Amino acid sequence: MIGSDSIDIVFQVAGIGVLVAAISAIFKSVDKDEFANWTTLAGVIIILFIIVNKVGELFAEIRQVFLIH
Amino acid sequence: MKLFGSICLFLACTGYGLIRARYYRERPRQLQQLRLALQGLETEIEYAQTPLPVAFVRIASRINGPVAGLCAFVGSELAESSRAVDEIFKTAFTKFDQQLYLTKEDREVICLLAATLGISDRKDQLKHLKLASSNLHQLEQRAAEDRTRLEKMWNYLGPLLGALIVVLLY
Amino acid sequence: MEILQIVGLGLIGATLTLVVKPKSPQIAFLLSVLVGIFIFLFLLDKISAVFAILQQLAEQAHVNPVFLSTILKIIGIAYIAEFGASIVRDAGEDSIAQKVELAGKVLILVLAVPIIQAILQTILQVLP
Repeated sequence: MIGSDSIDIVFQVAGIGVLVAAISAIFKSVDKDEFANWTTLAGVIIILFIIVNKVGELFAEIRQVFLIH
Repeated sequence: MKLFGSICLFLACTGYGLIRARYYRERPRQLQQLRLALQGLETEIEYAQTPLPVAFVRIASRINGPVAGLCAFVGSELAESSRAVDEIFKTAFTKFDQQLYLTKEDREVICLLAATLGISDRKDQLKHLKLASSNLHQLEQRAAEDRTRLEKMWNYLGPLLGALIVVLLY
Repeated sequence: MEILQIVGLGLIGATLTLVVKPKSPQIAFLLSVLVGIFIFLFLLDKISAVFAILQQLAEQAHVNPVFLSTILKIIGIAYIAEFGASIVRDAGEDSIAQKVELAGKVLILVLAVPIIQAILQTILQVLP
Protein backbone atom coordinates (compact mmCIF):
# COMPACT_ATOMS: atom_id res chain seq x y z
CA MET A 1 0.00 0.00 0.00
CA ILE A 2 1.10 3.52 -0.68
CA GLY A 3 0.57 5.23 2.62
CA SER A 4 -0.27 8.89 3.02
CA ASP A 5 3.20 9.40 4.52
CA SER A 6 4.81 8.65 1.17
CA ILE A 7 2.88 11.38 -0.65
CA ASP A 8 3.68 13.66 2.29
CA ILE A 9 7.37 13.06 1.79
CA VAL A 10 7.08 13.70 -1.93
CA PHE A 11 5.37 17.02 -1.25
CA GLN A 12 7.91 17.88 1.43
CA VAL A 13 10.80 17.29 -0.92
CA ALA A 14 9.12 19.34 -3.65
CA GLY A 15 8.48 22.16 -1.18
CA ILE A 16 12.11 22.14 -0.05
CA GLY A 17 13.16 22.22 -3.67
CA VAL A 18 10.99 25.21 -4.54
CA LEU A 19 12.00 27.18 -1.42
CA VAL A 20 15.69 26.45 -1.82
CA ALA A 21 15.48 27.51 -5.44
CA ALA A 22 13.72 30.73 -4.46
CA ILE A 23 16.26 31.54 -1.73
CA SER A 24 19.18 30.91 -4.02
CA ALA A 25 17.53 33.06 -6.70
CA ILE A 26 17.25 35.90 -4.18
CA PHE A 27 20.89 35.53 -3.20
CA LYS A 28 21.85 35.55 -6.85
CA SER A 29 19.84 38.69 -7.50
CA VAL A 30 21.80 40.59 -4.84
CA ASP A 31 25.16 39.44 -6.21
CA LYS A 32 25.89 36.89 -3.52
CA ASP A 33 26.52 33.95 -5.80
CA GLU A 34 28.51 31.96 -3.27
CA PHE A 35 25.61 32.04 -0.81
CA ALA A 36 23.29 30.93 -3.60
CA ASN A 37 25.52 27.94 -4.32
CA TRP A 38 25.76 27.03 -0.64
CA THR A 39 21.98 27.20 -0.31
CA THR A 40 21.46 24.86 -3.24
CA LEU A 41 24.08 22.49 -1.88
CA ALA A 42 22.48 22.48 1.56
CA GLY A 43 19.08 21.77 0.04
CA VAL A 44 20.44 18.87 -1.98
CA ILE A 45 22.16 17.42 1.10
CA ILE A 46 19.00 17.68 3.20
CA ILE A 47 16.94 15.94 0.54
CA LEU A 48 19.68 13.38 0.10
CA PHE A 49 19.31 12.53 3.79
CA ILE A 50 15.60 11.89 3.34
CA ILE A 51 16.20 9.81 0.24
CA VAL A 52 19.03 7.77 1.73
CA ASN A 53 16.67 6.72 4.52
CA LYS A 54 14.12 5.60 1.98
CA VAL A 55 16.72 3.80 -0.13
CA GLY A 56 17.85 1.93 2.96
CA GLU A 57 14.26 0.92 3.65
CA LEU A 58 13.86 -0.24 0.07
CA PHE A 59 17.03 -2.30 0.11
CA ALA A 60 16.11 -3.94 3.40
CA GLU A 61 12.79 -4.96 1.97
CA ILE A 62 14.35 -6.20 -1.25
CA ARG A 63 16.70 -8.41 0.73
CA GLN A 64 13.82 -9.80 2.70
CA VAL A 65 11.67 -10.52 -0.34
CA PHE A 66 14.33 -11.97 -2.61
CA LEU A 67 15.92 -14.10 0.12
CA ILE A 68 19.32 -12.48 -0.30
CA HIS A 69 20.96 -12.64 3.08
CA MET B 1 -0.78 21.95 17.58
CA LYS B 2 1.69 21.27 14.80
CA LEU B 3 0.01 23.93 12.68
CA PHE B 4 0.22 26.45 15.53
CA GLY B 5 3.92 25.77 16.01
CA SER B 6 4.52 26.09 12.29
CA ILE B 7 2.73 29.43 12.18
CA CYS B 8 4.76 30.68 15.17
CA LEU B 9 8.01 29.60 13.51
CA PHE B 10 7.05 31.20 10.23
CA LEU B 11 6.06 34.48 11.88
CA ALA B 12 9.24 34.53 13.95
CA CYS B 13 11.41 34.09 10.87
CA THR B 14 9.43 36.74 9.00
CA GLY B 15 9.87 39.11 11.92
CA TYR B 16 13.58 38.43 12.05
CA GLY B 17 13.83 39.21 8.34
CA LEU B 18 11.90 42.46 8.80
CA ILE B 19 14.14 43.47 11.71
CA ARG B 20 17.25 42.85 9.65
CA ALA B 21 15.68 44.83 6.80
CA ARG B 22 14.92 47.71 9.17
CA TYR B 23 18.58 47.82 10.16
CA TYR B 24 19.53 48.49 6.54
CA ARG B 25 16.69 50.98 6.15
CA GLU B 26 17.46 53.00 9.28
CA ARG B 27 21.24 53.14 8.98
CA PRO B 28 21.45 55.65 6.09
CA ARG B 29 18.88 57.88 7.77
CA GLN B 30 20.72 57.90 11.08
CA LEU B 31 24.00 58.56 9.33
CA GLN B 32 22.37 61.53 7.63
CA GLN B 33 21.08 62.84 10.96
CA LEU B 34 24.52 62.40 12.43
CA ARG B 35 26.01 64.40 9.58
CA LEU B 36 23.42 67.14 10.09
CA ALA B 37 24.35 67.22 13.75
CA LEU B 38 28.02 67.62 12.87
CA GLN B 39 27.19 70.48 10.50
CA GLY B 40 25.21 72.12 13.26
CA LEU B 41 28.17 71.71 15.58
CA GLU B 42 30.38 73.25 12.93
CA THR B 43 28.24 76.40 12.79
CA GLU B 44 28.03 76.57 16.56
CA ILE B 45 31.80 76.44 16.85
CA GLU B 46 32.65 78.66 13.91
CA TYR B 47 30.17 81.52 14.30
CA ALA B 48 28.61 81.40 17.74
CA GLN B 49 31.57 79.92 19.61
CA THR B 50 29.14 78.25 21.99
CA PRO B 51 30.61 76.03 24.72
CA LEU B 52 30.24 72.32 23.82
CA PRO B 53 27.53 71.33 26.35
CA VAL B 54 25.20 74.11 25.24
CA ALA B 55 26.01 73.44 21.58
CA PHE B 56 25.06 69.76 21.87
CA VAL B 57 21.78 70.52 23.61
CA ARG B 58 20.93 73.09 20.94
CA ILE B 59 21.71 70.64 18.16
CA ALA B 60 19.58 68.01 19.84
CA SER B 61 16.57 70.31 19.68
CA ARG B 62 17.14 70.91 15.97
CA ILE B 63 17.22 67.29 14.71
CA ASN B 64 15.05 64.32 15.58
CA GLY B 65 15.27 60.57 16.02
CA PRO B 66 17.64 58.61 18.24
CA VAL B 67 20.56 60.82 17.23
CA ALA B 68 18.84 63.75 18.95
CA GLY B 69 18.63 61.69 22.15
CA LEU B 70 22.31 60.89 21.78
CA CYS B 71 23.23 64.56 21.41
CA ALA B 72 21.05 65.62 24.34
CA PHE B 73 22.65 62.95 26.53
CA VAL B 74 26.14 64.03 25.54
CA GLY B 75 25.29 67.70 26.19
CA SER B 76 23.91 67.08 29.67
CA GLU B 77 26.79 64.75 30.57
CA LEU B 78 29.30 67.36 29.40
CA ALA B 79 27.67 69.97 31.59
CA GLU B 80 27.58 67.75 34.68
CA SER B 81 30.73 65.64 34.69
CA SER B 82 34.32 66.51 33.88
CA ARG B 83 35.10 63.46 31.80
CA ALA B 84 36.69 63.63 28.36
CA VAL B 85 34.38 64.08 25.38
CA ASP B 86 35.24 60.76 23.70
CA GLU B 87 34.57 58.82 26.92
CA ILE B 88 31.19 60.43 27.18
CA PHE B 89 30.47 59.49 23.58
CA LYS B 90 31.43 55.92 24.30
CA THR B 91 29.05 55.66 27.23
CA ALA B 92 26.39 57.38 25.13
CA PHE B 93 26.84 54.80 22.36
CA THR B 94 26.50 51.93 24.80
CA LYS B 95 23.43 53.58 26.33
CA PHE B 96 21.66 54.13 23.00
CA ASP B 97 22.94 50.86 21.51
CA GLN B 98 19.45 49.46 21.01
CA GLN B 99 18.12 52.45 19.10
CA LEU B 100 21.16 53.21 16.97
CA TYR B 101 21.50 51.15 13.81
CA LEU B 102 25.14 52.08 13.29
CA THR B 103 28.07 49.80 12.58
CA LYS B 104 31.33 49.80 14.47
CA GLU B 105 32.90 51.76 11.62
CA ASP B 106 30.38 54.58 11.95
CA ARG B 107 30.94 54.77 15.69
CA GLU B 108 34.69 54.87 15.24
CA VAL B 109 34.45 57.95 13.03
CA ILE B 110 32.49 59.77 15.72
CA CYS B 111 34.76 58.62 18.54
CA LEU B 112 37.81 59.75 16.58
CA LEU B 113 36.23 63.18 16.18
CA ALA B 114 35.17 63.31 19.82
CA ALA B 115 38.76 62.75 20.91
CA THR B 116 39.75 66.08 19.32
CA LEU B 117 36.71 68.09 20.41
CA GLY B 118 37.30 70.64 23.13
CA ILE B 119 41.04 70.11 23.50
CA SER B 120 42.44 72.21 20.67
CA ASP B 121 41.80 75.57 19.06
CA ARG B 122 38.89 76.42 16.81
CA LYS B 123 40.60 75.97 13.49
CA ASP B 124 41.85 72.51 14.34
CA GLN B 125 38.46 71.38 15.58
CA LEU B 126 36.77 72.66 12.44
CA LYS B 127 39.28 70.74 10.33
CA HIS B 128 38.48 67.53 12.16
CA LEU B 129 34.77 68.22 11.93
CA LYS B 130 35.00 68.59 8.17
CA LEU B 131 37.02 65.38 7.92
CA ALA B 132 34.49 63.43 10.00
CA SER B 133 31.67 64.92 7.99
CA SER B 134 33.13 63.78 4.70
CA ASN B 135 33.86 60.35 6.16
CA LEU B 136 30.24 60.09 7.27
CA HIS B 137 29.12 61.16 3.83
CA GLN B 138 31.06 58.30 2.28
CA LEU B 139 29.66 55.82 4.77
CA GLU B 140 26.19 57.18 4.07
CA GLN B 141 26.53 56.59 0.37
CA ARG B 142 27.72 53.06 0.96
CA ALA B 143 24.89 52.47 3.41
CA ALA B 144 22.39 53.68 0.82
CA GLU B 145 23.86 51.24 -1.69
CA ASP B 146 23.59 48.42 0.81
CA ARG B 147 20.05 49.43 1.54
CA THR B 148 18.81 49.04 -2.03
CA ARG B 149 20.28 45.54 -2.22
CA LEU B 150 20.06 44.05 1.23
CA GLU B 151 16.81 45.51 2.53
CA LYS B 152 14.79 43.76 -0.14
CA MET B 153 16.82 40.59 0.27
CA TRP B 154 16.09 40.31 3.98
CA ASN B 155 12.45 41.16 3.43
CA TYR B 156 12.10 38.09 1.22
CA LEU B 157 14.66 35.89 2.91
CA GLY B 158 12.94 35.91 6.33
CA PRO B 159 9.60 34.43 5.25
CA LEU B 160 11.26 32.03 2.83
CA LEU B 161 13.63 30.74 5.49
CA GLY B 162 10.68 30.33 7.86
CA ALA B 163 8.72 28.39 5.26
CA LEU B 164 11.76 26.20 4.59
CA ILE B 165 12.22 25.31 8.25
CA VAL B 166 8.49 24.60 8.59
CA VAL B 167 8.54 22.29 5.58
CA LEU B 168 11.67 20.59 6.88
CA LEU B 169 10.15 19.88 10.28
CA TYR B 170 6.64 19.08 9.10
CA MET C 1 -7.73 0.05 -6.89
CA GLU C 2 -4.08 0.37 -6.09
CA ILE C 3 -3.15 1.15 -9.68
CA LEU C 4 -4.98 4.46 -9.24
CA GLN C 5 -2.76 5.25 -6.27
CA ILE C 6 0.36 4.42 -8.25
CA VAL C 7 -0.74 6.48 -11.22
CA GLY C 8 -1.71 9.36 -8.94
CA LEU C 9 1.66 9.24 -7.20
CA GLY C 10 3.41 9.14 -10.55
CA LEU C 11 1.43 12.09 -11.92
CA ILE C 12 1.97 14.19 -8.81
CA GLY C 13 5.64 13.32 -8.77
CA ALA C 14 6.03 14.19 -12.44
CA THR C 15 4.25 17.52 -12.00
CA LEU C 16 6.33 18.48 -8.97
CA THR C 17 9.51 17.45 -10.76
CA LEU C 18 8.56 19.67 -13.69
CA VAL C 19 7.93 22.56 -11.29
CA VAL C 20 11.30 22.18 -9.57
CA LYS C 21 13.40 21.25 -12.60
CA PRO C 22 14.00 24.70 -14.18
CA LYS C 23 15.12 26.12 -10.83
CA SER C 24 17.33 23.32 -9.54
CA PRO C 25 17.77 20.16 -11.62
CA GLN C 26 19.54 18.26 -8.83
CA ILE C 27 16.56 18.46 -6.50
CA ALA C 28 14.21 17.52 -9.34
CA PHE C 29 16.30 14.40 -9.93
CA LEU C 30 16.19 13.48 -6.24
CA LEU C 31 12.43 13.96 -6.31
CA SER C 32 12.00 11.56 -9.22
CA VAL C 33 14.23 9.04 -7.43
CA LEU C 34 12.00 9.33 -4.37
CA VAL C 35 8.86 8.67 -6.39
CA GLY C 36 10.55 5.67 -8.00
CA ILE C 37 11.49 4.32 -4.58
CA PHE C 38 7.92 4.59 -3.34
CA ILE C 39 6.51 2.80 -6.37
CA PHE C 40 9.10 0.05 -6.07
CA LEU C 41 8.39 -0.34 -2.35
CA PHE C 42 4.74 -0.76 -3.20
CA LEU C 43 5.49 -3.33 -5.86
CA LEU C 44 7.69 -5.29 -3.46
CA ASP C 45 4.64 -6.16 -1.34
CA LYS C 46 2.94 -7.68 -4.36
CA ILE C 47 6.06 -9.52 -5.49
CA SER C 48 6.55 -11.03 -2.05
CA ALA C 49 3.00 -12.41 -2.19
CA VAL C 50 3.73 -14.07 -5.52
CA PHE C 51 6.97 -15.47 -4.18
CA ALA C 52 5.24 -16.97 -1.19
CA ILE C 53 2.97 -18.92 -3.53
CA LEU C 54 5.96 -19.97 -5.64
CA GLN C 55 7.73 -21.27 -2.58
CA GLN C 56 4.66 -23.21 -1.54
CA LEU C 57 4.45 -24.81 -4.98
CA ALA C 58 8.13 -25.66 -4.90
CA GLU C 59 7.76 -27.39 -1.57
CA GLN C 60 4.85 -29.43 -2.85
CA ALA C 61 6.84 -30.42 -5.93
CA HIS C 62 9.89 -31.31 -3.81
CA VAL C 63 12.21 -29.03 -5.73
CA ASN C 64 15.62 -28.53 -4.20
CA PRO C 65 15.22 -25.30 -2.13
CA VAL C 66 18.66 -24.13 -3.23
CA PHE C 67 17.42 -23.88 -6.82
CA LEU C 68 14.35 -21.90 -5.85
CA SER C 69 16.31 -19.41 -3.77
CA THR C 70 18.81 -19.03 -6.63
CA ILE C 71 16.04 -18.27 -9.07
CA LEU C 72 14.49 -15.77 -6.69
CA LYS C 73 17.86 -14.09 -6.30
CA ILE C 74 18.26 -13.92 -10.06
CA ILE C 75 14.87 -12.31 -10.47
CA GLY C 76 15.69 -9.90 -7.67
CA ILE C 77 19.00 -8.95 -9.24
CA ALA C 78 17.27 -8.35 -12.55
CA TYR C 79 14.70 -6.04 -10.98
CA ILE C 80 17.24 -4.13 -8.87
CA ALA C 81 19.65 -3.69 -11.77
CA GLU C 82 16.81 -2.42 -13.93
CA PHE C 83 15.68 0.01 -11.25
CA GLY C 84 19.17 1.34 -10.57
CA ALA C 85 20.03 1.64 -14.25
CA SER C 86 16.85 3.58 -15.02
CA ILE C 87 17.52 5.98 -12.15
CA VAL C 88 21.06 6.58 -13.34
CA ARG C 89 19.79 7.03 -16.89
CA ASP C 90 17.32 9.65 -15.61
CA ALA C 91 20.30 11.55 -14.30
CA GLY C 92 21.71 11.60 -17.82
CA GLU C 93 24.62 9.26 -17.15
CA ASP C 94 24.08 6.66 -19.86
CA SER C 95 27.53 5.11 -19.59
CA ILE C 96 27.17 4.40 -15.86
CA ALA C 97 23.69 2.97 -16.48
CA GLN C 98 25.15 0.55 -19.02
CA LYS C 99 27.76 -0.54 -16.51
CA VAL C 100 25.09 -1.17 -13.90
CA GLU C 101 23.18 -3.33 -16.37
CA LEU C 102 26.35 -5.19 -17.26
CA ALA C 103 27.05 -5.85 -13.58
CA GLY C 104 23.52 -7.21 -13.20
CA LYS C 105 24.02 -9.59 -16.15
CA VAL C 106 27.36 -10.84 -14.85
CA LEU C 107 26.02 -11.42 -11.35
CA ILE C 108 23.06 -13.35 -12.76
CA LEU C 109 25.48 -15.50 -14.74
CA VAL C 110 27.52 -16.18 -11.60
CA LEU C 111 24.43 -17.24 -9.71
CA ALA C 112 23.27 -19.42 -12.57
CA VAL C 113 26.52 -21.39 -12.75
CA PRO C 114 25.53 -23.99 -10.08
CA ILE C 115 22.23 -24.63 -11.83
CA ILE C 116 23.94 -25.07 -15.18
CA GLN C 117 26.39 -27.45 -13.52
CA ALA C 118 23.58 -29.50 -12.04
CA ILE C 119 21.84 -29.71 -15.40
CA LEU C 120 25.01 -30.81 -17.13
CA GLN C 121 25.63 -33.48 -14.51
CA THR C 122 22.08 -34.77 -14.89
CA ILE C 123 22.50 -34.94 -18.65
CA LEU C 124 25.80 -36.78 -18.27
CA GLN C 125 24.15 -39.28 -15.95
CA VAL C 126 21.30 -39.85 -18.34
CA LEU C 127 23.61 -40.30 -21.29
CA PRO C 128 25.18 -43.74 -21.47
